[in-house]
Amino acid sequence: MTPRGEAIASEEYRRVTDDVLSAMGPSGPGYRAGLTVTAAMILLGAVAWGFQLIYGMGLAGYTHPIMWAVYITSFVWWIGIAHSGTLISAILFLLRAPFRAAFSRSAEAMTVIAITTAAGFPVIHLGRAWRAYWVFPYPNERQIWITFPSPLILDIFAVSTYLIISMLFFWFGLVPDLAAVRDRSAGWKRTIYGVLSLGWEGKDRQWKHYRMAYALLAGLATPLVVSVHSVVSWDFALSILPGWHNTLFAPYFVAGAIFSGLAMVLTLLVPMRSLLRLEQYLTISRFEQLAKLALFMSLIVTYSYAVEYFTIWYQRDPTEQANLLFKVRGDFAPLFWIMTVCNSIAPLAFFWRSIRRNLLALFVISILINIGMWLERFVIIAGSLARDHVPYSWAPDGYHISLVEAGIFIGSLGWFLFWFLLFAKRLPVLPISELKHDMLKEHREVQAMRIGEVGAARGGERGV
Amino acid sequence: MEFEGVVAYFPTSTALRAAIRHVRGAGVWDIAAYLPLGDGQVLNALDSRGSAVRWITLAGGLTGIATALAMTIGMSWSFPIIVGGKPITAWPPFIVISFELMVLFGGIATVVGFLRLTRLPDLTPSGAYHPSLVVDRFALLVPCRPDGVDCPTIEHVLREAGAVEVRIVPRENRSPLQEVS
Repeated sequence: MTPRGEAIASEEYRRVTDDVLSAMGPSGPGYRAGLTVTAAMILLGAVAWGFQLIYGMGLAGYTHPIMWAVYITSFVWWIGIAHSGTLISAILFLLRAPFRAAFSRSAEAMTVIAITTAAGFPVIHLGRAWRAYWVFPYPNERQIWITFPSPLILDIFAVSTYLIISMLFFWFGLVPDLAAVRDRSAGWKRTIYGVLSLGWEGKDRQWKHYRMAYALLAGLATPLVVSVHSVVSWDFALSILPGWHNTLFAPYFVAGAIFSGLAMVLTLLVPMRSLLRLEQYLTISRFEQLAKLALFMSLIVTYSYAVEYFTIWYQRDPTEQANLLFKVRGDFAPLFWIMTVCNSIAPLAFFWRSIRRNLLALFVISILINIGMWLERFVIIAGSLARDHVPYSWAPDGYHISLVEAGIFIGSLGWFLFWFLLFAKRLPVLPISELKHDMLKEHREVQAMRIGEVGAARGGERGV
Repeated sequence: MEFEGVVAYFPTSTALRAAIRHVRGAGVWDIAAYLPLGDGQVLNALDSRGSAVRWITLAGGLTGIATALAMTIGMSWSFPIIVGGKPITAWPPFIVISFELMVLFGGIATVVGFLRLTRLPDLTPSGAYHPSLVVDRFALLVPCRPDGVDCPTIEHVLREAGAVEVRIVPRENRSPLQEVS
């Protein structure tokens, strides 16, 4: 006799597939408008970059001493956003977190798109973008090799590895679900989904090797969350600049990366929940779990700030102290204090359950965190460059964002949102087979509890 | 007419697992299952051995480490520039690159190993495949062989095992990505 609980789950399997695949249905005018606006943003960025390629890096406003500003800030920010996707999809998978499945697919998509967005910035910042391939070790007529001890080269290997592994992990997780999409498609769409799903049929041998391979990919992606942003932080920490030369930077940046990524997940999924009618899967309780995680990361980031300020005070280095005071009450003070409010004060609202369960509050606070984390990177990068060891080299006129930089940054936002919109309509936004597996597991746990309760009751009757 | 085998459909994974035990008890060992989700209990009932993908991943990771060390040490000595007072063979950054290539090669090896062991991609749908098998149905496929048990006997065993539907699947030549109804 089939346990009643599992008979219900059996009917729900089809409903899960139908609900998720219905989100891939025909798009409305709002979606097309979103695609148009984001495409326009990309075009703006491309035009701005075109001007820079023709007229030179001077258009970006970079001059001694502030040679790194918006581009590198944006690079670090986008890489950081990518990390939370890997955290949710890989680390929470290994930890068997029950609320993971609802967010994992979108988080993985966010990771892949954010890395591609980030990867453009070092190339743009290069100026002579056509020389970008010089960073790779290939035999050349100049008879030189790249400098492996350089953190910039370590970055190349770290970010390239992260991009390839994230793409593999994202596509691999889609394979069983793409089989369902394939079977409901026709024409060229069926061909594309069919090729991407590898001809998956759900055979036991396929599942056996799939489960092992997926777990191994998750295990391989997990240390990347720590290693990649540590390597990115060493772009700064391995220098001698006050405000940069700090051994705290690796965990500081990793914590900030996860924090900003969680905020971006909230920013994307709160509207996606209602637009794609996925309220049954993206429940308020699951958003509450994300909010708790974001609060936890906010506390770690705030602690990191405190450790940084304490060590600067304790070490009595006048240059480091002057650099910090410049950020706190100098030209960068407004940005510093906005950053502090956005990253350390605003997320404290998540201590209140009513706030954690309010989708509008989640959305607004997540936007503030995104802004705060971008400003944190900017204050560290440009603020430290503005006041280094030698007063003669201090920037007399400060730093002002140029139109070209703003245009390229807007273009990067457009690029990210454009591809995420495509993902939302062309791929299943929830992991269908994982949701079914979670349902089965939950039903079995309920059955086991009922059997335990019945056994305990019968034991009580027998006086055991 | 040649037959691919007998396919029996079950409503739940529990029923499928019970059917596997029943069919094995009847002395039939060459069976394959179709599932819409990766139910570990069913997979263990069919084959409790671990997947060999992990060994391929290990080989890939070790290859990545060896490649990274050969590349970094070899290229550094080929173009020996002293940077920041560091030795030519600077272990800390070389370890970082070794770690990254270990992950990269290990990940690629995992996917390649999976494709090799599952013999994917295979875009031609098998005779027993039906689109409901990746949505909400569970199935067992038992091949019929001229020199083994015949199809009606298998069919009888599967019906005894609680199948809600049983059909004998003829061997047919399907084309890649052919629609199946």
